[in-house]
Amino acid sequence: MQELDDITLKKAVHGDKHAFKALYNLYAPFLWRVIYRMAPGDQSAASELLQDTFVNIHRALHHFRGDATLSTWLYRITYTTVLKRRRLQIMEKRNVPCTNQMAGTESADHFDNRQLTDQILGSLATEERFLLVAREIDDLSFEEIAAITGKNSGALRTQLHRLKERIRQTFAKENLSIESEVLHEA
Amino acid sequence: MKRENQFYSELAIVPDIPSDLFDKIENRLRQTKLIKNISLALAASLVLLISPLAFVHITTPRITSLQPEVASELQVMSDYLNANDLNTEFEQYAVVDGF
Repeated sequence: MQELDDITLKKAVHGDKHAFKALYNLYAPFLWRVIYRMAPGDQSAASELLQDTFVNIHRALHHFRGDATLSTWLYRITYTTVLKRRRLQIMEKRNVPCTNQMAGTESADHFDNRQLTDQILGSLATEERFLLVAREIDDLSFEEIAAITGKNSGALRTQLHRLKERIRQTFAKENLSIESEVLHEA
Repeated sequence: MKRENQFYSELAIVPDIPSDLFDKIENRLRQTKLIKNISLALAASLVLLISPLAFVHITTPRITSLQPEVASELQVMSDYLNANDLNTEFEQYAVVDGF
């Protein structure tokens, strides 16, 4: 991932608004993807979480020491912000149906996949969703994810392996049920 | 397997970030700063109000109350010096002398 240059970072740390905007423009798409997948199917919750995250980033920016990369540090704030909200049980109390922004523009198969994706993600714990997206989509190393989550990288490796196995089995059952439906109709 | 692969592809596809999100973040930061400044101003006003009262309280001489035993002894001495206890003694001695 591209990192913010030192000069802009320094300006952002000192409260420069334009520098903070540059930081937002660079990192918001990645953090949005992570947050959206940690709050599956609930775009308004994801939007609030992204706001919370950047407000927390703004507050904490002067504490950034450069021990880790800026992106790792930002992911860590994102992770803790989302978990904190989960602990407040705001996400659990929401029963918002899956909001499909692209409904009607995609094929039925693609729509079904989106629903299934949201369903599978909804069955996972928040930390598991983060692990899946961070590793499979953002291609973070286990060491980076360990730095973000505070967990052991070996344990994360095992956790992801088991998680993918569960997903594989879900799809295996899904395929079996589709096949049996097809046979029944025939 | 195909659907499983599609699942992982689907993970990467998310709606666009709402276009007004950065404005909302800026508004929240402005509000937080305003609340912080108001709180500081209130705290400073309280300190300015309380300081003169605290100063007066500190500089006013304190009247300490006496312990009851000490007060009683002092009262006895005062009565003796002012001859306030004479009537009591007359009554006591009247009884002793049989009057």
